Amino acid sequence: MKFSLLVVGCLAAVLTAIPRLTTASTPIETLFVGVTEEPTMLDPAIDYTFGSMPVFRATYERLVTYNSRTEMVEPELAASWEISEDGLVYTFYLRPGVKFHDGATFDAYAVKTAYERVMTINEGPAWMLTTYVKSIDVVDDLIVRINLQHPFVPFLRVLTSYWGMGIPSPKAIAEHVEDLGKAFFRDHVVGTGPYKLVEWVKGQYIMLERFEDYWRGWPGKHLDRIVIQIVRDTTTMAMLLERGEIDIAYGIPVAELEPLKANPEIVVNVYDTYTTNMIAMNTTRPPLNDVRVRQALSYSFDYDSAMEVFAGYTKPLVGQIPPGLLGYDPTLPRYVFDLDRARELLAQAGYPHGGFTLEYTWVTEEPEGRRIGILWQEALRKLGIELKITEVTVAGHWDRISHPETTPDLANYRWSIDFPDALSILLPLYHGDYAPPVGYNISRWSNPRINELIDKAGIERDEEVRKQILREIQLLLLNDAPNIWITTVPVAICMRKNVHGFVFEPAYFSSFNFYNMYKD
Amino acid sequence: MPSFGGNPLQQMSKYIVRRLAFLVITLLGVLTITFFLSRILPGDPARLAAGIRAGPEQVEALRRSLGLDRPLAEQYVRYITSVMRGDLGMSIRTRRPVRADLVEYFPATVELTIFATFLCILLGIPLGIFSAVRQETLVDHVLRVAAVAAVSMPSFWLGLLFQLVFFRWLGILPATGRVGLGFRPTHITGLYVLDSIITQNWAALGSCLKHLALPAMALAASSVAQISRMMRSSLLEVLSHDYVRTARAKGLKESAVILKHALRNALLPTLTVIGLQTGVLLSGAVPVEVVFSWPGIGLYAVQSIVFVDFMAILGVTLLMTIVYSGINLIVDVLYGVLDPRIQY
Repeated sequence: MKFSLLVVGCLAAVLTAIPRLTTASTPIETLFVGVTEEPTMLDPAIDYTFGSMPVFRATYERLVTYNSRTEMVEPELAASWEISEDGLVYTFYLRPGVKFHDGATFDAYAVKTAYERVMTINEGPAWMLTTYVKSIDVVDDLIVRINLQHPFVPFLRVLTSYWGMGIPSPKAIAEHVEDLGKAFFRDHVVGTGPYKLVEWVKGQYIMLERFEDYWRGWPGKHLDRIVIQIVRDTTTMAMLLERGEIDIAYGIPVAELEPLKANPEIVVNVYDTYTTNMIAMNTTRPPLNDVRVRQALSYSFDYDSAMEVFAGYTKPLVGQIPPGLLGYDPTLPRYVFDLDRARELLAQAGYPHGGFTLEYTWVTEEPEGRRIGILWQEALRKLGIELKITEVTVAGHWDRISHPETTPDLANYRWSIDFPDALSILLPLYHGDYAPPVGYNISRWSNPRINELIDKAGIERDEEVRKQILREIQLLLLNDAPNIWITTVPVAICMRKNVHGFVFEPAYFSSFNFYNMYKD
Repeated sequence: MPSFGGNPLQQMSKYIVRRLAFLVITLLGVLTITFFLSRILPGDPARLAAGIRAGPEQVEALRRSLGLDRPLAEQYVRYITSVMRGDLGMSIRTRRPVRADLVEYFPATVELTIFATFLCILLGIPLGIFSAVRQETLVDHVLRVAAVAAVSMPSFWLGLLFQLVFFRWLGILPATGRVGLGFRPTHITGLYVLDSIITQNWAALGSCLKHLALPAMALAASSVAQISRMMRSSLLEVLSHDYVRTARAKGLKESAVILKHALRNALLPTLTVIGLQTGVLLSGAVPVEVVFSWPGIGLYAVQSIVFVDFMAILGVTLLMTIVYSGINLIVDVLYGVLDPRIQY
């Protein structure tokens, strides 16, 4: 008894004696960014994930870049460009005096080498070039010409993608020519970007350092060093941010933000991305091959309640194109939760009391799908429809949607754009030629008129006419109802209040404009 | 355990050789089962690796380059022969040789497991002895409750709790990673503590130990509790034997009775539990690795399974089988050391 009292006494004494340390603070010239996802590799020709994005954006540059605020394509490594009348020849006038991290000079040859490497390796993001590019000509040191197989109006936007379009040093490629540089580039970065890779300690952190010869120079306030720290657990990440061990937390689910919002040292911002969450209906078999049943299901979904799954940070999607991309049209009609209307349509289709079971799958890595399913299950039960909810891994999901027979009746999925244009959504998801495994038209819906309009949107250069085409496509899709369009997926970026200059990029939402950021 | 006459050392080495020979058969069996089982996993690794938008010919090209287009039996023979040459194949997910990945991630897990095992021994055994000696006192009751709590609490939750107290509130221990930025010791073995000692980098050593503290505690808690309970009950059992009564009757001091006479016998069953727990610690580290962002093999294994990364799955299985068998062998040999009646 005496002993236990002694132990308790000692413990209490120790705990009170240790002063509560004041919040740590990181050096002002170094930015610590916590991320949950580590890149699996850093080869811009192969990697096709969001994990590598923070590194790609800091280290590699593309010919052109997209400004989501002006919705315009702007110069990056190309100072200007011309597009031929027939839309087949893109001529880029390159910026002089640009150096790679290894000292090599950026020129037309570097562009040709980089893109031909992507096309030869032919993995991951390569389709963005192989689908459209016929050949690449070096006109002179600073002029490069890309010839297309067929006109594709958004091609300039394709070149703004962070996947596949970052240009690595031709010198580094030449030094590792035996395997096309695959072994070298998976762990090394040699770009023209403002920061260069210093160290990647697997599973722990990636350190980037200012590239002194960066072509924009370093006037004004900038960061010297960026440490991208891998923090797998988001509760832990919130603790690190609160203690000041990291400056930015990326990946904290929107439902876990309340404690951080109460902290005056931390700025919490939730942004809308161009990533959408939807449910694909398998249109190849009954009862979902009947448009009336699909419309009924579209009315049976409680869109407003589903926003709670995203902690109320987002709004129901109008049409198929998220705000910020050409073609977004807030005047489009949208389905609302209306069980009476759903009952009516079911009765017309011959199912007045429902009486069928549908399988709904959600992907482990996209956890909102589970709650969306449970929410919907309740509503469908009122219509006499049973919803069988199945969890699948990404691998299992891809496996199942690859064949019409194994495709579930209803599949919850996310879609992130590859390049900032409506066609990066409409073409792979709704064109009849793009059923998996070629594209991501999971519902396998094919409406010849929609296909024709999507093809037309690929060649129409007049923006106003293009807008009209995109509106017509969306109206037709709303009527055909191959999908239930839920919302855009919000992301939270939490940072300490001494971090400045951050601008959110909805297309490549896991990346940062490090060059313009600083701390005080 | 078979018993033979003759030189005990010679017998023991014979026994070890026999066990190692048996390990080869075990490995072949485990690899064969895993090889064919992993092919049942849903998902096409070539499709996953080529990307969502890859055309069929792109996927096929990648499948060919990975050798996944060959008949299954041929793939199996190829794999086993390459393993014999020490080549564990290429990870489809990371595009690195599996061996390089294992060398990268395994030391972190080993280091964590070793420290957790140390904690188990250093805390579990004394606490068990203490409870046994103070049987049915308040201390014993408190320790029992603590043990039940430690066994019942999931390690990730305990990890978060430790982070909250020692990192968030007290600010005395780091919450994530293996070592402070800029303190990483020169790479020799990949075991940071050992590397810091070899290179006499004391600052790194301090940082490594600090980083190890919380994950090792979270990982070890449940095992410490089990080992202390095991120690308590086996010591109590031994203390009721006649020879202990004799020792006491001889007038030996109580500490000598317990530490010299009773403990040695009571340790045997505890040793088995420690051996088993080390295996559990090694394979059960995933939640702890996630909470503490510990760059170990557990997370690598999980990601490999999710990505249907055949070669990586097999590599991890092979490694784990070797380590687990090794631990079992060490425990069996230690039995003989502790109890001379056991012969090999």
